[in-house]
Amino acid sequence: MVVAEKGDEVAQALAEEVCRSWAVRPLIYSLPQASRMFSISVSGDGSYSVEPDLPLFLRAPQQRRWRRSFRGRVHLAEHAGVLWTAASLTSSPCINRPTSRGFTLASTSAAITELRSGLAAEATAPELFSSALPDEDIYDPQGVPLSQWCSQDMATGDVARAPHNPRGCGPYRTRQREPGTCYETVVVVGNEAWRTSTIDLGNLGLESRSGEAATKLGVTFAAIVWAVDREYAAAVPARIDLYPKYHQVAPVWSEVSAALLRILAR
Amino acid sequence: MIYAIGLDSDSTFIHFLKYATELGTEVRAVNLQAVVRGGGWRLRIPDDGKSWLATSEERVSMDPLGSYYNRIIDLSSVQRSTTVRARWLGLSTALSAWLEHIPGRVVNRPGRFDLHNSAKPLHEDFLGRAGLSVPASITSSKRSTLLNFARNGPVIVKAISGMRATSQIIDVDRLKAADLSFSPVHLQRYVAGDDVRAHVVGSWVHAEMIRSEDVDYRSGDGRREFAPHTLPDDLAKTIVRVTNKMGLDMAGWDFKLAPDGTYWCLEANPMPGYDGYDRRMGGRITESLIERLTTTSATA
Repeated sequence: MVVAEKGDEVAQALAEEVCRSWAVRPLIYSLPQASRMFSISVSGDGSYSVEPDLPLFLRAPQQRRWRRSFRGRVHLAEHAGVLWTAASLTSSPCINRPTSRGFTLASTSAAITELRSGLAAEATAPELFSSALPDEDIYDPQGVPLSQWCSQDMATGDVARAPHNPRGCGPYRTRQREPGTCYETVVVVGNEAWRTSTIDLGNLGLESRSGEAATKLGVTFAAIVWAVDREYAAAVPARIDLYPKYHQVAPVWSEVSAALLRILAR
Repeated sequence: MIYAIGLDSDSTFIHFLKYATELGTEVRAVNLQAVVRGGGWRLRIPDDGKSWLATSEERVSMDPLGSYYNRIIDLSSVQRSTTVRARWLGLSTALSAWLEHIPGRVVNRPGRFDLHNSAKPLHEDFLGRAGLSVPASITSSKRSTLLNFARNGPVIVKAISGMRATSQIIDVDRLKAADLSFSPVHLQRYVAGDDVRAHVVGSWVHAEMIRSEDVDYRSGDGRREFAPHTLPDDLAKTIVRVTNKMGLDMAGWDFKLAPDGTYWCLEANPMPGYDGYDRRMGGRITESLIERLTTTSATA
């Protein structure tokens, strides 16, 4: 069973691979549709059953339409509770199996997600949350140039590098990002990882570092985006996507999809 | 000094402020509704010593080494204005992230505790594995499955998520007629007996027995009697251990005490509304909370 929103390209691509490789058409359901499929029996003495017990590929449960009203949110929370339980307890393989703290350990704060992943011990860019766009003197007392700060309007999602302003009226989150930085995406599936560019960055060990981060975040499938300096001598985490988009995984999709199928077939 | 962060419409938050003040504790209160309505915020991770929350009347500097009692209730889902909704979401995200990261004492620290109370079957499985007696349950959208469970004895219907809802006994006939088209249903085997509510704060346990004519003593018009209660020592130790295991400093535990003496565990609430119990106990829960906030060393 694939649980994904309509139009999720990774879910569609994986469903096609399942069809091609196993001659089985996977069920693709939204979160509410999927939750209605499950029956969960908990005896209270340590035994339980989840039916149906089948391999799961979970994608981000957004369900924007349901979130528009309070009633919709209540129903969505109920469905999410069922799927969270079913995916946690099922004996079948699950990508990405939820944790005791939620569907993933990712936070809306990029800095917190980095801290949880263990990557932030190496280096982290400060993250500033504010109700208004920060003034120049409020960004950083250590004198980081203004041009190194990017702000995102948390309502519209628009991003702009200072001194420009993102579209919207806030609130904002702002991070330090050096201009001219290169970015490398590493896709992790289980204990395997692939860089998506062909640039020689072998000495940075991004695959193993990404794998360790995904393990700490409790996920099987993730994309870690690294900011690499101009000399290709150092890299710091720039973004962690626990539900990668297709464009992030496309360059290595054949390896990634094969690895996903290997896990789902266990 | 203790920072108390919450809503001025939350009776538990108001109760904490009142009792803490009566105990002579210095408390800096921040009303999040006032921050969203006419104030603002600046919270930085890692903290740079310049973080603050503001209402239209004052700006409160947020000390990363301070002690925080927080009841962050995100009201975004009940806002009509998209601007106000965005401010609630932005503030609760920012504050939760900042409180997760600072080295000061935070009860309960966002991001560091289990949230499976919002997935009741998972929560019940966890509690059973932790050594507590938990009534059996079934969660399904299939009428036949639910009916099979209900035919084997009385059941109550409960919310699956963490949403506040009144538990009710539901019989087979009502279940046959129920509209199951929208949400799954969670049924739990009904346990007759008195209710016991126990609040764990660190290693302190404060329990009360509630004798009620209603299935859910929190609602209904039936007669209710409250009496201080002492849990069996091994049960008290277990819930202290499990509270800690869930990453919590404080939790509200619900039990049913069956006539045969079995304490059936219904749930552990990570953000207990404890004010009513505390009033009857003369403020002992708040005292423990303040003790926890002021005497234990900070942990990041």
